[in-house]
Amino acid sequence: MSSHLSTPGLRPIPPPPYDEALRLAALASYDILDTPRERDFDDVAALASALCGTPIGVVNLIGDGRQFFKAEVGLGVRETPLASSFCAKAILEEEFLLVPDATKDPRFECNPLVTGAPSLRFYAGALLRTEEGLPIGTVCVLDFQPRRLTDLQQQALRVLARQVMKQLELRRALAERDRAEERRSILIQELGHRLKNTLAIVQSVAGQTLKGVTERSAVETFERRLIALGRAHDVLLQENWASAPMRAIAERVLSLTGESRIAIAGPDVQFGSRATLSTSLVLHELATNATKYGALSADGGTVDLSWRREPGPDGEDFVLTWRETGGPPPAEPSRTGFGTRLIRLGLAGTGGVTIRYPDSGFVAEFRSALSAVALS
Amino acid sequence: MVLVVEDEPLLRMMAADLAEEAGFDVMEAANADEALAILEVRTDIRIVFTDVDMPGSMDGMKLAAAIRGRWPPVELIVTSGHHRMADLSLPERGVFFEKPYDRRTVMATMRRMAA
Repeated sequence: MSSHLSTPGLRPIPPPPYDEALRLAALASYDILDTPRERDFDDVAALASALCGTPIGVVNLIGDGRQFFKAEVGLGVRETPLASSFCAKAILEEEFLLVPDATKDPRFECNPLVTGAPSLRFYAGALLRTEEGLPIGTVCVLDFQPRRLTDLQQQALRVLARQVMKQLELRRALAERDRAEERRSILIQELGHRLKNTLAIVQSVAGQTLKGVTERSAVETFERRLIALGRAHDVLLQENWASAPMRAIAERVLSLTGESRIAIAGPDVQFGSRATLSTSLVLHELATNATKYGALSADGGTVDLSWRREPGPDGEDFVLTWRETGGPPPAEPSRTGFGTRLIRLGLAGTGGVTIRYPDSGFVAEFRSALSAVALS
Repeated sequence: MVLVVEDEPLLRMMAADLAEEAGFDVMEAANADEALAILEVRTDIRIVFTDVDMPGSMDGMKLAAAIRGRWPPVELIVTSGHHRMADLSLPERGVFFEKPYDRRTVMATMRRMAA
C-alpha cells in the first residue's frame, strides 16, 4: 500500500499549527492508548454510527505513526498504521471535518483505503481537543458510499466528541488524585517508621543516661510508658495516622502486659489520633496498676474493659469502663503520681473520670463526648 | 556470647548493654555481612539479636534465614520498628520483638534461650 502513498499527487499534509511532541505528550498523559474496550467509549461509537446512519463509528486517537481505535463499530480492527489510514493526520486540522465523497476530495482521492478495498467514501469527524487546544483524535463516522449529514447529526458528533474529551479529562484527574494519595500514604508510613525508630533511640538514650539511677522501677516505668506510646503510634500507622479502632488500641496496648485475664468488649468506635495516644497511655497505666496492686496481682483476679455509646448532653457520649474483680480490696493511693494524673486526664485530656474503690475491686469510668474522642 | 546486629549505633549500644545485663558476653556488627564474617570465625555465639531493616546485601530477615541454614543451633531474636510479626516469616525458633521493645522481656528471652 505504501506505493500508493508515495504517488505524486497525494496532497502533502501541511505542518501542524501545534508542536507534535507536545501533542503526543498530552495524548500519553491520558493513559488511554492500547487500553481494552470499555462500555463508556463503545457506547459513543455506537451512538455516533446510529445517529448518522453510517455502518462505521469510531473513537479514534492519533498516536505516533499509528491510530488507535478506543472504540469502534463496523471496522473490526483496533489499530491501523497512520500512513495507510483514512483518518490521516489531516483530520486533526479542522474542528469538524466533513468529506461527503472522498473520491472528490483532494485530501483523500489517492488514499489507498479510498481507491482500493474497503473503498471508503464518506467521512465526518469531530475533533478531540485537550484543554490546551491540542488535537489528539476524533469521534468519527464512515461509510462505503457518499452521504450527507444534517446539522443536527453534525452537532451530535461534536457533542459526543466533547463528552469523550470530558471523560478522558476526568479519568486523568482521578488517576492523578490516586497517585497523590498513594504518595501521601507512603510518606506517612515512612514518617511513622522513623518516629518509632526515634522512640527506640529515646529509649536507648534514656537507658544509657539513667544507668546509674538506683531506683530501677522508675526507669522501667518510664521505659514501659515509652513502649505503650510506640504501640499507640503503631495502631495509628495502620490507618495512615488518621484514626484507630478502639478495639485495636486496647488490644495492642494491653498485650504489653502479657495478661490473658483482661476481657475486652465494646462496639466498633473509630478514635481520632489524639484520643488514641492519650487513651493508650491511660490504658497502660490502668493495666500497670492492676498488675502491681490490683486484681491482676492476685491469682483469681480479672479485669473487664468495656465501652459503649449512649445519649449525652451534647449528642452521643462515649463511656469506657475498667472494672477489676477478684483481687485484694483496693486502696486509694496516698500520693498522686504521674500515672494517677494521667488517668484523671481522661480519654481526650478533658477529664470525665470517675474512680471508685469498692471492696470488690477498682473501677474507673471514663466519659467523653463521642465527638471529642472520634475527632480530637 | 550474643551477637548484636544493628545499623543504628545508639540502638546497637543499647542492645549490647541489655545482653550484658542479661549475663552474656557481646559482640557487635553493623550489618549482615559483618555478622556473617564474625559467625565464620567464632564458634561460641549462642544467640544472634538482629534488626530487620539494615542497609547492605542482606536485611535482618535474610540474615536470620541464612544463619538458621548454616548454623542451626544458633538462636535468633529479630526486632523491627517497621514491620510487625504478622508481616514476617521467622525462621524456626526465631522470636520477634517490636521496637521499642521491653528490655526485661528481651532479657528473659535471651536467658531462656541459653538455658
